[in-house]
Amino acid sequence: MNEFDVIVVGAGNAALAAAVSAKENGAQRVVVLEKAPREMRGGNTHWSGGVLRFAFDDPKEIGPLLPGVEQEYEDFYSGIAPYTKDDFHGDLMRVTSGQTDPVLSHVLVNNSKDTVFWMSEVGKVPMEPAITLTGVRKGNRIVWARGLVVRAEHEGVGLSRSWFATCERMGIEVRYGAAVVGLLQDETGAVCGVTVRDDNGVRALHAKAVVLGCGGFEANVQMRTQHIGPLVGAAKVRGTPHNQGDGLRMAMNLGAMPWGQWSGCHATPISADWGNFAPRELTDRSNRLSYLYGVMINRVGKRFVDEGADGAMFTYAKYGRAILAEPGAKAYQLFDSQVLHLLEPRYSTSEPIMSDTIEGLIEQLDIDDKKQALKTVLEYNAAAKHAADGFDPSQKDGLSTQGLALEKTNWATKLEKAPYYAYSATGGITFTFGGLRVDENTQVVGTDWRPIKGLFACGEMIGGLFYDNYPAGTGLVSGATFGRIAGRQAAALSTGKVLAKAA
Amino acid sequence: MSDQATEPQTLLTRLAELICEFDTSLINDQAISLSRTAIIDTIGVTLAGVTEPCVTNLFKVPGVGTSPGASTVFGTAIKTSALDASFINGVGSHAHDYDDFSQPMGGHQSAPLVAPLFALAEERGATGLKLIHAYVVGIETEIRIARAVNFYHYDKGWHPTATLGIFGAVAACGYLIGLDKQKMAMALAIAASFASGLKSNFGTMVKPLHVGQCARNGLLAVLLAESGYDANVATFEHKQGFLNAFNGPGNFNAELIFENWANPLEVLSSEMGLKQFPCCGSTHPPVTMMLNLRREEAIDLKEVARVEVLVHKRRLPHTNNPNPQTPLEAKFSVQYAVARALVSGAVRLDDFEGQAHFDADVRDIMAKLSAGPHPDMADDSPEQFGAEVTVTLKNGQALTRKISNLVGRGITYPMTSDEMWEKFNDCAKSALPRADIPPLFERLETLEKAADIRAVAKLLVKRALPGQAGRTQTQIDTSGGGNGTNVLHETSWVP
Repeated sequence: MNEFDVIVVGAGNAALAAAVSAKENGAQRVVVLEKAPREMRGGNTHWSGGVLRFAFDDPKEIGPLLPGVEQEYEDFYSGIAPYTKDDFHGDLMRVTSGQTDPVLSHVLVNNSKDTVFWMSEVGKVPMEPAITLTGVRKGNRIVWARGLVVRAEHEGVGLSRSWFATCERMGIEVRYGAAVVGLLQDETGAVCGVTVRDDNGVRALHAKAVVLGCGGFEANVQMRTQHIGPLVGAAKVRGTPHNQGDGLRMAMNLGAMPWGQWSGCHATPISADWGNFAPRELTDRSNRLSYLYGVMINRVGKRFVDEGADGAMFTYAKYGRAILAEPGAKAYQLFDSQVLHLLEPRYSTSEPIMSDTIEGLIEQLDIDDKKQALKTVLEYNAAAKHAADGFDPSQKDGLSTQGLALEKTNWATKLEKAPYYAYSATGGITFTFGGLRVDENTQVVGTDWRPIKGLFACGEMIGGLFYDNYPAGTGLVSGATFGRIAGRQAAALSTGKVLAKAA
Repeated sequence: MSDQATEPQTLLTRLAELICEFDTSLINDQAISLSRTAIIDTIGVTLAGVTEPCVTNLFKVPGVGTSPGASTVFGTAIKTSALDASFINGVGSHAHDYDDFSQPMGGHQSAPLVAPLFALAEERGATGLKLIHAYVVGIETEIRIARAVNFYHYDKGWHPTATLGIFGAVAACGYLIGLDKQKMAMALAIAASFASGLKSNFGTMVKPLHVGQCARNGLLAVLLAESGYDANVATFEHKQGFLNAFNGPGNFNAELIFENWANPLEVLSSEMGLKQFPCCGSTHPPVTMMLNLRREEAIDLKEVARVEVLVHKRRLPHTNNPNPQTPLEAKFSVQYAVARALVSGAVRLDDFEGQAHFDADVRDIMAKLSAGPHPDMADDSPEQFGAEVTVTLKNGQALTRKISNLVGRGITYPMTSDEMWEKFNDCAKSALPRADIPPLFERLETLEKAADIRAVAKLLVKRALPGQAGRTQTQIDTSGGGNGTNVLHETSWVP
C-alpha cells in the first residue's frame, strides 16, 4: 500500500512548483520532504533575487502580472522592448557558447511566459516590476533590461513564502527535517518510493512517482573539489548549506545518467567576512561587485585583474573564480571617498576597514606583503587619472591607467580622497551546472539511455541547460517550468491518466 | 546545614522563587508559538513607532540615546546602552497603541517586555529560545500580579501597562541573565518604587512614555540588584508598600498572584490578543468579518447597494461616527474602518494619515453604510465583542459574515502567517528599507531556533554605506524606509 501518490524531494521553487502541479493535476496525496529544518527551509530560492526572465512579443502581455503598474510608472510599456522566444533562446545560446541542450532549452523558452502566468494564477505568487534590479531611469521613463521586467514580490524570500503558503492552502503536506537518503525500486525497475531519515530514525515511504527537486552539489566540498576542482572546492557558498548533491548521487546509484557541465558552476565575488556559508538572513546581499570603481589587491599585495575591463554584469562571474585562484582565495577591494556613493547598497551588509591614509588602510588588512601592497597602490595612483579627466560611472569611460603591466582600462581614478575604505572579497558559489539527463517530460534517463519509470527531476538537478554561464533570471523560470512538467507527469503516473506528449 | 535562621517568606521572595525556578517544561510548542507571534508583533509596531514624535522628541533631550552600548534602537543605526535602548524602543512599541493587550491586565502585556529583553540580549548574548522563555516568565508575573490588584488598580487611575508591566520586565530580564532568588526579590522590590503611570495622561505622548519608563526601569532594577543593591523584600505587603499605597487596604487579593501559577500558563490565556488593525479595538470584529467576506466573495464595489454593520451595543458609543473629520476620529469610526476594509481589502497605518479618511471610494461606501446595535447580542452576555456585516448587492443578493465574539487575535483565533506578515510589513516600512523587511520577518518566524539574538538584532539595524545619511546619526531618520537603493545603474546588479 502506498502512503502517497507523489513524493517530492526538496522544497525550493522547482520542487514546490512540482508539488503544486501534481496536486493541481489530480494527485491526492502529495508530500514534500524537506531535508532542512523549518528555519532553513526553501533551498536556494530564499537566496535568489526573484527575477523571472520570460519571452513575450508585446510588452502589454506582461500587464496581468503587474496590477496597477500603469498608474505607478508613467508610460510603463514604452520602456520595455519585446523579448521574443528567439531573443530568449539566442541569449541562452550566446552565454552557453551554443552548448545548451537543444530540446530542453526550447521547452524552457517556449513555456517561459506560460510558466510565469501559472506561478501567478495557480501558485499565487505576487509579482512586481524588478525596478531596483533592472530598471534604469532615462529622462522621465524607466527603461527595463531585456526580458527582465518582472520579479516575485519580495524577491526570493517572498517567492519561497508564497509557494509554502500555496502548498498549505492546497493540502500538500510539507515535512521538515526529512532527509531522503535513498530511492526505492520495485522488481520492474520503477522507482516506487524513498528511504527517509528524520528525528525518529530511518523508514521507507512509498509512492507511484518521485520527483527530485533537491538542488545541485554546490555545498558539498568533496563533490565541488572532485568535479570542478580544488579552487572552487575552497569557495564559500552563497546559498543553502543543504544542497549537497544528495539527489544526484541517489539517482546515479540507480543508474541515472549524468548530463551537462559537471565542471561548471556559477560563482561571484562575495564578502570574505563570513564563514563557509553566507548568513541566510543576508539573502543575496553578500555580493561585492563594485570593484570596477576601485582597486583589488591580493594577499601578496598585487593587483591580479583589470578591475575596469567592463561592467560588473560582464566580469563578475570570471572575477569570482579569479579571486579563488589568488593566495588564500581572498582579496581586498579598495575605494576612496570620491567613489563611495557608487557602491551597491549590498555593501552595507558588512563593515569596511577604514583609514584617513592609504598606509593606515593597508596596515589593517590581512595582507602578508604590506610593503608590496603600498607600492602597488602608489604605482596605480601614479598611472591613474583624476575624476575630472572624464570619469563617467554610467558607461565605459575609457579612463585608463597608463604604463602599468596590468592596466585598469576604465574608471581608473586615483585613490586620492580620504578617508579610504577596504572591503574583503572571495569567490562565492551560487549553483552547479552539472545534473542528470532528463527527457522533455523531465523523466530521468539511465546510462542505458532508457527512461527510469517513476523518477522525475527538476530545478538545478537537470543537466545540460547551462554551460560556462547562464542568463540572469533564467534559473527560477527553468525551475518552475520543469517542476510544473514533473508534477504533471508524476500526477498522471499516479492516477493512471495518459498525457499528451509535452510541448 | 546552616544554623542561621531562615528569613521569613514575603510575597516577593515567594514570587522570586517561582520566577527563578520556572518549570520550562510547561512551555510547550503552542506557548512558544503564541509568544513568538507576540514578540514579532511587538517588534513590528516598534518599527512603526520609532519615527513618531513621541520617540523622536526623546532625542532632543541631551543625554538620551547617547550613552555607549551594544543595543540597537530598532529601525535605526543607533547603538546605545541597554537602558537607553529599552527606554526608546519601549516608547516606540506603544506609540501607535497598536500592540497586543490583555483583559485581566487592563493593559498591554508585551510592550514592557520586548524592548528590555532585546536590549539586554544584545548586550549579553542569549538564544532565541532563552529569550522566549524569559518572555513567558515575564507575562506570567505581570498578569498574575494584575489578577491580584485589578480592576480596582485600573479604575483608580493607574496605567497597568506601566505600573504592573514593570514587574514583568524585571522577571523577564532577571530570568534572562539568571539572577538568583535573593537578587530577583531585591529587583522586584526596587521596581516597586519605580512603578508609575497615570491614566490622566492618556491621549498624549506620555502614555507611550510610561511604557518606555517601565521597560527601562524594570531593567535598571535588575541591573541594580545584580550589582548588590538592597531593598525591602517585604515591600509588597508593607503597610506603606506597593499594594497598600497603590490599591489601598482591602482592595487587592495578594494570594491570587500564586494561585494556579503557570497552570495553565498565562501566555495560553484566551483573554489576550493581538491588534490586527491600527484603529479602535471595538471596530475589529466587524472589520475582520468584512475582510473575510471580501476575501471569500468576489465583490464588485460598483454593484454594492448597501452595507449593514451590526455590533454589540457596547462597541458603539465611542465608534459611531459616520463622518470622521480627522485621522484620529477615523480611528474611532466603525463606519470608516469597515468601509475601508471593503474598499481596500486591508486596514493599514496610512489609512489613518493625512486625508485618507476622505478617499472618494471609501466615502461612496460609507454613504451606503449603516451601523447599529445588534438585536440578538444581549447587554449582559459574556460575549461583548460580536459583530455581523451584510453587503447587499444591486441584484438583491445579500452576503453576510458574523462572529459572536472577537477580542483581539489570540489563542482562540490566532492571526495567520499571512495576516502577521501583512501587518508587520505595513509597520516596518516606516523605518526599514523595503527589501530588508522580508528577511527580518522570516528570521523572526523561527526565533526560538536563533542561536544568538545578536545576529537577529542586526536585521533591525537600518544599514547604510559609509558616508550615507543616517549612518552615524544620533537622530532618528523619519523619512521612511524607502526601497533601499542608492543609484539606478545598468551594471549594478547581477544574480
